[in-house]
Amino acid sequence: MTGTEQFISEIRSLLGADNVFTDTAHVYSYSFDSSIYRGRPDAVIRVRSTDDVSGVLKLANIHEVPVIARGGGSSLCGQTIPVKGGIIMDMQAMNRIVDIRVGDLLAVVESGVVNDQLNVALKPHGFFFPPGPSSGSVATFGGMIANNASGMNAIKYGATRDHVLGMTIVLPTGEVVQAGTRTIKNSSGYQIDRLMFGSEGTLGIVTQAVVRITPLEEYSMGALIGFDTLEAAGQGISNVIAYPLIPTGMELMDRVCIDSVNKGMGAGFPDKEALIYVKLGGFKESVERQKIQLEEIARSSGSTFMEITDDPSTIAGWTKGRQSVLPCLSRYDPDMVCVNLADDMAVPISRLPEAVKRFQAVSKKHGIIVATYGHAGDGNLHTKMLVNPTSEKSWRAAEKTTEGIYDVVLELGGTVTGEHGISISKAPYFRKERESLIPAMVTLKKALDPKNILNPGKIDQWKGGLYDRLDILRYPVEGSL
Amino acid sequence: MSSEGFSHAKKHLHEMHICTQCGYCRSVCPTFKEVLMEPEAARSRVILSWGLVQGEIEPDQSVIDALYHCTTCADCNRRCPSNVDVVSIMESVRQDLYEMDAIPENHRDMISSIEEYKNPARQSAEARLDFVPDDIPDRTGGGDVLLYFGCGMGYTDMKMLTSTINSLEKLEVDYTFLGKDESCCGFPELVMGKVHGMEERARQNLTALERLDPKPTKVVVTCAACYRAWAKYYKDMVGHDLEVFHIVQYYNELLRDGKLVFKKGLGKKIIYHDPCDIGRHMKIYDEPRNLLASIPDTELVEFEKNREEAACCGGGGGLKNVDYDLSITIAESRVRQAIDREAQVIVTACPTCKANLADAAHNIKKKDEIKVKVMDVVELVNKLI
Repeated sequence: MTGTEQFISEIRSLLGADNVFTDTAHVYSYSFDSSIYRGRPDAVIRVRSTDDVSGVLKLANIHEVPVIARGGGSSLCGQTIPVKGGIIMDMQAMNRIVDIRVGDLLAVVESGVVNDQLNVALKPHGFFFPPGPSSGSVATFGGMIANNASGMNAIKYGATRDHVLGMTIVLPTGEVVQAGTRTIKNSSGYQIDRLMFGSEGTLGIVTQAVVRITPLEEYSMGALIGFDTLEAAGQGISNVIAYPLIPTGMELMDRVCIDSVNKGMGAGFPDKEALIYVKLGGFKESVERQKIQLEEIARSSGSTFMEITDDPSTIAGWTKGRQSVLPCLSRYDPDMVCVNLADDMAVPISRLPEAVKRFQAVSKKHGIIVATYGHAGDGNLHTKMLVNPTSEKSWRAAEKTTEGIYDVVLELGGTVTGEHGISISKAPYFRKERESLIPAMVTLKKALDPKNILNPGKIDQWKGGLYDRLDILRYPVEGSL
Repeated sequence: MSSEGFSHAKKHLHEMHICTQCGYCRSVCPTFKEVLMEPEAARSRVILSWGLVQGEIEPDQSVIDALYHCTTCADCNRRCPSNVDVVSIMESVRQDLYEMDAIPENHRDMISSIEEYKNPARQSAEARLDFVPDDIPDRTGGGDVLLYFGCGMGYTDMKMLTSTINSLEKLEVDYTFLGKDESCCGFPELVMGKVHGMEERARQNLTALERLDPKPTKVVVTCAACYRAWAKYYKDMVGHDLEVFHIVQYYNELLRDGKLVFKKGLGKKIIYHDPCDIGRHMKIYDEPRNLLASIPDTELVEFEKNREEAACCGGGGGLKNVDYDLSITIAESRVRQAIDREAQVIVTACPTCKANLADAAHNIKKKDEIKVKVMDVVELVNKLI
């Protein structure tokens, strides 16, 4: 019996046989997430409590078996792909909303609670959890913390990190610690909880979180503003922020994105080179004033289309259209599919116009269709590429395009990830961006996870390029299989 | 491993690549919502199908279970932002699995029953007439409207059959039925993967209809799956020029023409459950609501998830035949949604939905002592006209 087999056998004793899966359907379906990568686990296990997680990690340390925690599996950069075998630890059965205390501005959730599940529960109280990732119907709190997820509302409300007060963490050795507090404020002491944001499951497993909740906005408006060039739209966004006007959300979509959601789901967006979708929210008087300011900025920024409404169904339709950009891009060209490459970056807001213009030049140089969109109000852009999924030539051109785009981002003082994380697909560029930080990360990882069992081979440990070996791709590239 | 034998699923290869595995389908997939493990999610069924086509995995029992647990409710199709047609992929991969003899054991029994008896219940052809009330005239000789019984109503739900027949008698419809010449619609064979079986049933039923004199020009069915078979698949597979109605549509026409009049109300709060096969698949939403809203002294309320967003009852796609417990767990969730809306009666338009929801309501009554009645629209109409 190998070490892994012995480990799985002991896990069966710990969790019960009905929580350990080695059959084809489980092992194969957990080999994929929403990234371009794949990797088979040796087994899938289901945990139901902090004690379960602690017991699993203690055994994993003894047998030195990799453990990858997984929530909704909506990660875009390969976070839940086992690159060194081991087990997938499914956290979704830990899905209880433990407490809601509106008087204390907090809720307590297990890590398998889905973002939208909490918001449904908070709505009758007049509250919500603001970060709002597009994948909110799938993403769990464990994954949102591990990737510091955010979405359209980040410009006004920030990311997940800004709305978590405390948490229960199982450290890689199996030790359970309470980090942070149940109070709005706390001061000194090492803020170990903060290390979890962006750790991608490499430093500890969050099993429960105390999250800060926020009153729902009383009144909302949505605006669609059209431009004749992508660069003009980027300038328009910068002008809104500099005015200063801080909306609830401000999204950018280029021509490719507009066409794809119109085609994919009949979004009905106007036929423009670029659109900015602005969400205004707050007290009615304040929103009406913001509307006047926004109209003035749009006019002076050279917009060629503008529609503003407070009709909830129209706003919901626009939001749904924007949220559907990513998956709809695959319908843009019948021979192509949309892949997550250079899918996330952030640049200083004032550099947006230059960034989007230079991205277009990179796209043209390598002959790859690049769609640009994102939460541009906070400088966070997403570019997606359309590739022929079975053509090595297409993948190699996409690789060059990714490199070119990230070179631009770093030149402009940006970062290679605003909200999707690093894992595998950003690792080569993250190394470039934060070269001086890597040794400290290595030291920290060794201190907390001496046997390197938690999600090994990711972030700084990923030493390869985007896809040196084509067989790590989930697509059947000719000659790779 | 070999991908030979997956020729039907292979046609959807690009569609499988378009699926980004975003997982948005998980929020609506009825099996995933209960089990919370990936093989029970629509996106995983796509990737498992892909694995089979690529020859990366074998169709072992775990894979067969995952693919045959899909209820084919199509809520994933609706939710998918890339418009991936998961149900078509499921139909094709099941067709491949059937041709490779890799199907669940329970389905073998049902398929052989349909082959041997022309119904999935191992009942004789004559038994289809057992529930027909004695006091009605012989209706097997032909007429303008064919009342197609279907197997759910014909063999297992006496209340539905007598209600349907009695209502048509009261409404003075010139109807006929096939009697012992009726075959299963073939829909169970389609969802189990025996696609040519459905085509055979189509020919049997259409041939039996041709023999009637006068030959019907309209077909009325009470089962949502039978409706989909006659209105869509029979037309695609064999072709016919019959006008096909689900009975909610037919009643609704009679209501519009002033021929159907409710003489009394129910005095209760009712809620309409959209069967997936006439709802999301065939877009019949307004007719049942129009019909039920016209009942006096009866309040019609809606599920939070209704019409195209309606949750599945768990009875479709053959799930009930392979995993009864999971099927009923899904139905219990749906019944609890009706209880949340304080409905006293769940009204649906399909014997499969009715049976599943009724079993679930029975369980809930035993567990929580909360009572909610489940009725088919034909029972309600017959009772109140």
